[in-house]
Amino acid sequence: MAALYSTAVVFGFFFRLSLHNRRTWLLLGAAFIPVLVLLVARAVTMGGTGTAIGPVLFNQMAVPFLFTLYIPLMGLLGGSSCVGDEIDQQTLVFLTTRPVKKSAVLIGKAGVQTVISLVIVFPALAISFALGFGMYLLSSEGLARLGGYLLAGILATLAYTGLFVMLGTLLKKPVIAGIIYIFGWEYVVQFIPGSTQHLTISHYVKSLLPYKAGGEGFLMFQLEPSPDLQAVIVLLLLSAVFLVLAARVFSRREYVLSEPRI
Amino acid sequence: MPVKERGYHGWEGSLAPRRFPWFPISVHGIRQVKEKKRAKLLFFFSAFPFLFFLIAVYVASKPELRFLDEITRFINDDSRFFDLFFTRSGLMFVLFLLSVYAGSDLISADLKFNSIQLYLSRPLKRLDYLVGKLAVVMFYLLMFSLVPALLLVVAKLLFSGTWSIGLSTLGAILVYPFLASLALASLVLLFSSFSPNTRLVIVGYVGFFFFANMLAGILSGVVFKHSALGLLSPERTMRHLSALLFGTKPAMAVPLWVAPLLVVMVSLLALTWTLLRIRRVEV
Amino acid sequence: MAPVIEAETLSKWYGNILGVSDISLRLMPGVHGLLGPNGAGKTTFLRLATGQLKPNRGRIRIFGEPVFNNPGLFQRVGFCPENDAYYRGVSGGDYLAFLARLHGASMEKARDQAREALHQVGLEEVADKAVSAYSLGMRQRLKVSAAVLHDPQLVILDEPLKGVDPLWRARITDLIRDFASRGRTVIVSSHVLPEIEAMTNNIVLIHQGEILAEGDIQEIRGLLDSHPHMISVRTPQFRLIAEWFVEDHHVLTIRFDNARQKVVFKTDNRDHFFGRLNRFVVENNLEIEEITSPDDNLQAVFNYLVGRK
Repeated sequence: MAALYSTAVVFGFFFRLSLHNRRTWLLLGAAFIPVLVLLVARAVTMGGTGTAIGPVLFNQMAVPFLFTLYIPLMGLLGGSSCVGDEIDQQTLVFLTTRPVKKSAVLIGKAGVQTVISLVIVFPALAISFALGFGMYLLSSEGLARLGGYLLAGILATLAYTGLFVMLGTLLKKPVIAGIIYIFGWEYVVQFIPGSTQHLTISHYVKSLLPYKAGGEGFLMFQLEPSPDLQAVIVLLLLSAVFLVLAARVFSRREYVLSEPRI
Repeated sequence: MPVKERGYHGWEGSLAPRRFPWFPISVHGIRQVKEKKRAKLLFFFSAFPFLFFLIAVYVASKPELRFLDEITRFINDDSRFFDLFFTRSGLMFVLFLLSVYAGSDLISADLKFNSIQLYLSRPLKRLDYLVGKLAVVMFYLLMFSLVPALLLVVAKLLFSGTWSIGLSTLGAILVYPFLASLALASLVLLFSSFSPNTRLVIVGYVGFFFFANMLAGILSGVVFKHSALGLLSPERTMRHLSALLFGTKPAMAVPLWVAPLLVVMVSLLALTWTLLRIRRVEV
Repeated sequence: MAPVIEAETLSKWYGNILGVSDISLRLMPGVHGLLGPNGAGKTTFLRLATGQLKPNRGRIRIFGEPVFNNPGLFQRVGFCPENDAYYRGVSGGDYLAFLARLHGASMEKARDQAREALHQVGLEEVADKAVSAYSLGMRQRLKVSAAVLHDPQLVILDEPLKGVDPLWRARITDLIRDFASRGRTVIVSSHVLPEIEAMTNNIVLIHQGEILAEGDIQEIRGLLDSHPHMISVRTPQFRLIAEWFVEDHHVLTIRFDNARQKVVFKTDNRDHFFGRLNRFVVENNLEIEEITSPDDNLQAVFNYLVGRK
């Protein structure tokens, strides 16, 4: 109970702090880039041959942008900042010399990052979908489809944030390692035969996306997507495991407040 | 007392001109990057494209390994060989990672610790400071692009026993890594000057590159269906540049001269912008 | 009586750099000054004492309990760190209220506690201002107030007077003394001897990661007084003064600095020297520009004590 209270207090404080942070607004602006591109594209193709460009743009631009670039990078920035910011600004001591479990501090801060990410990603995803699919959104099928994307967005945010929170507690330079994971490992395994893709978060996120197509890059499946339920369970489990591990490491490790961490 | 020792004290004498006032900044920066954690590991992996191509050159020179001809036949065409080495071997990703590793905190950390003021309280111009930092990133990028390319030239010469590389190819081998390194170094320094938070710098820089590639793909392939928009992608532009320099077939239907012009312009723009950012720092 | 802090063969090193080495110490209730030059190991010791660092060897206990990863202990311990760190975009009042809430206070009580703590350090008028807009001295006062916010039994203050103006130095010193008079234990670190002297007579001298001496400040003062002192006098009549002291057998050496019109004496009896100097200056109506004691500082004491070891 006390831990829950502490987590809530930490969450409240850092959430307010995030709202005053220029970085949050910058990230919010970046999330709307696909919306802007969709708007431009729709304007350009208006009165054209009638090709349904909206869904194509949503599936081939907005979804890859948000799911392969934006959510992982938000997770990386937010997750690694949970501990990294405290060490860089040398403020960690203010939290660790109070009667609060370190795990409560970490989970409170990770919670802020997750909520901020979702608050940013949700409208970007919903507006992109609306621009891409137009009136189809109002049908029950359209709504269900949007729900699928939003669910995938929540689980992807949880899993990536959890992973990078953990990496942030373990490594001095979590960002470089995170970039190697996102743009190195998650990309390379697409070309590795066998079931190696199961060792990535993106595989389960992709499996949950309502639209699955062949082709290049992100949506290319050499491996069959995992069943939806399995993907949901795996992503939830991964998020929980990452957070528990992060909390354990953070509680037991000492952090020397000196050199900058990148 | 040497001028360098005088710090903030007023000094009324005239400075003896130094040819390279930025040099100490570069040497210091190069050392600092080398001493970073896991630097050796990164350098080791950065040598992989070179090692792979070196093995290929060796294999091609061995008659008993002729059965690998299918795989190694690209080696005999020098232009194609170096075009592939620079643009398709993973070297671009390696150089990109190196630019992140060596350059992302170069200005950002100075902003964080207010050390630009310390630099500028010495007999240094802002331009010297920028050139000093640029040289740090360029050093590492050239170390893993130009140097291995030259080593491959030597390896080809040694293994084949004859000098087959044309002068134009040799020129391209010198020019391409320089332009690629200049563009990456300028951009990473620009991003580094945006924030004292190095994590934000890295994420912004990485996001910019990958988003630009994604946007180029969608605009050139889906929205406008015009390959010129592929130039929005740094990766495609570099491939176009390589096609011009090595005389290989370009992937985009765009005049070849556009690529070097774009690379130089983007680099100059980024450097000018960075200089303006540094000018905002009050001494 | 049980010690408040108890360290046994405590050692901490960062790679090849030694932080503290083999420190064994028992600090009883009261005010204790941790004195040492920069880089002596004071901050490392205090970080070990507040559980921010894990010892490589030995152990440290507060109120008989281990410190590392023992958050419950901090209901009874307050800590003011040395570094000038703060959360950007938060006001002093909100920051203290947040800390009070971490101690379990309700929203309303946390606000009251924050207000009271800010009042103690004279920051109530800037309670709603962002901490980033505070001066260094104000931020330092804020940190001190954050350390005593929850009325802990033990307060650990690492260089609390750094960057604070003279008026507030005196007030914070009073605050610490007042806190101790209510039966609390205070450990305060500094590299400035008079700062510590103003707060307590109990001092622990730390140097190069080791405890050099521990006990009453008067004893340390005695050591300081008995070791040869350098005294520099700047005056246009510096040779005249030198001549006056040539035959004084408490003066061991005399050195001239013509360029700065200065004479530097080495004496083994400081009080005797200053007595004679004062008389001579008054009797001869000399114009003295500066009298300094280049080694009347902590480093000199340490050098002397290290030399004696």
